Amino acid sequence: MSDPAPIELRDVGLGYRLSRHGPSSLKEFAVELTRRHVRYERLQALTGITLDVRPGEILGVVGGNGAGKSTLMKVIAGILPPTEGRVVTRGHIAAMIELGAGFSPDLTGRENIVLYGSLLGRPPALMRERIEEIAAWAELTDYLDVPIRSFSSGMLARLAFAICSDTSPDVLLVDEILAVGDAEFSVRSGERMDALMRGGAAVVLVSHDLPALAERATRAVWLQHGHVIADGDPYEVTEAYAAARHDAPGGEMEERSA
Amino acid sequence: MSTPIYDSAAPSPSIPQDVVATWRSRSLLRVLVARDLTVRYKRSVIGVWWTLLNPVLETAVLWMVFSQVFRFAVPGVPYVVFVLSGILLFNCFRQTILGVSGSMFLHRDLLSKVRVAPGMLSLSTAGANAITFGFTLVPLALVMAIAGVAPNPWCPLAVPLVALLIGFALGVGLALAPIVVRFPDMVDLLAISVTMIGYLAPVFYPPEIVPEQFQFVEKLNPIYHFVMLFRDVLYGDGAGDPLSWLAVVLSAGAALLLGHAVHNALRRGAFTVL
Repeated sequence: MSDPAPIELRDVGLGYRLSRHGPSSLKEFAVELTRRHVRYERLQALTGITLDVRPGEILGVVGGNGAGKSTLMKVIAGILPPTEGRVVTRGHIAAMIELGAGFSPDLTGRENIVLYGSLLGRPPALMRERIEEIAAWAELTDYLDVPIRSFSSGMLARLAFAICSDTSPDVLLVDEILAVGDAEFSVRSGERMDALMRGGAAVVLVSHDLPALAERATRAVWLQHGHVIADGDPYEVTEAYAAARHDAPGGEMEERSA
Repeated sequence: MSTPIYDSAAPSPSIPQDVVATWRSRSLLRVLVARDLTVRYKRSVIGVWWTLLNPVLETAVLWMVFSQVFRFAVPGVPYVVFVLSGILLFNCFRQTILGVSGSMFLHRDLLSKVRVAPGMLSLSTAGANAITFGFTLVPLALVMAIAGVAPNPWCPLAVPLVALLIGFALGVGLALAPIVVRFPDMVDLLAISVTMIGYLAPVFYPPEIVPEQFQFVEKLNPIYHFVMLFRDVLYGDGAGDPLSWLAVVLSAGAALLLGHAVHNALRRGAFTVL
């Protein structure tokens, strides 16, 4: 197995440039310019992250709010270009990060399956063949020709998950916030996710459920202020993180407002 | 199926690379154009005709004001044919440039959650506008038939001409799209500028009313040449002024080259504000 890893991060950093008062329009920008007030602040969301995730490996990511977990996922998914370092992914990616962003409310379920699947990089012709099966899994067969504007949030979540997971990816990114819908669906989606993870993909999993994460993952990293501060055995990393969180319960809040 | 590789450190694609990549994702582009058109027309025939109502009403107003009140006359054709052809072409330009400029901002939610080249969204907007323009030729043909204006045998040249016009608008829009993400009110400014360009072009007045010593200014406006050529190939004689063709080819080419370069330079930065 001398193949390059499907996920390769080398010294990756991501800095946002935020203006102090956040001019969000030309008008405000011009006003602040005349007051000589345009000051930018750099917000470093990720710093010096170097990671390899190999096929079959399940990397768990833990960290508080604002520690950079979601940003890391978006950088690996290729949604956010890093400002420093280099990210390389090899193979088909399934990113279950924020589901359903590709939906168009005015289109029907059928049209949205093709649209969303195509946006995720799969051939539209293949998506057209998969419509019935995806709808059946999402239990939406009867609503295929209705504009999804009238769908409930649970229906949308089921549809998005069904489209996203209808694949055998080389790289799988999963954010735990997917625990949506009723209990029955969350069991079924959990099973499906496990099947995908066991399919030999390189997996990155973000979760707040530490025991479940330690059990699933083959390795874990702990992110704090955008730095990796621990990387190794999932039980050890999650325990260290849990202990630190217990010692400083207010610590996570300061990160955000600092 | 080949293994797709994403490399954040890869240099921005050159125009030939982008053309190849776009050709490979043409099926996605088709899905996106279909989405744009379905959303715009709400899958109804009325929806399509509704969007034609606007230029037709505008033509009616301009015809009343300029032909009946001010007694404008244009050589060769009834004023209504003259003004409708100008308005339809200019509307196509305006909608494409505004649509493409706003495409990244409009789809910011999508761009911040799904990996998709922002250029695809710009292209799909341009494609949807090209198809919409095709629909608007129906009332134009009707008005020409009623007014008894015979079409020029060269009228198929309108196809490459409109393609060049959309290319011109696409190029400018591509450059502006990442800036609009940063400053959304830029679109208002752009809308005013585009209206100004429209007044500076012979959209609803004949070019001859401009005093001779200022006519060279008029000819610096690319839209002047697009509008003149469109009328020439539609109902004039011959294939239009070769110099005008040179002007439209050069302005579309330059806009696409510059737009592509500026878009690539600013695209990454735009993501951090999305």
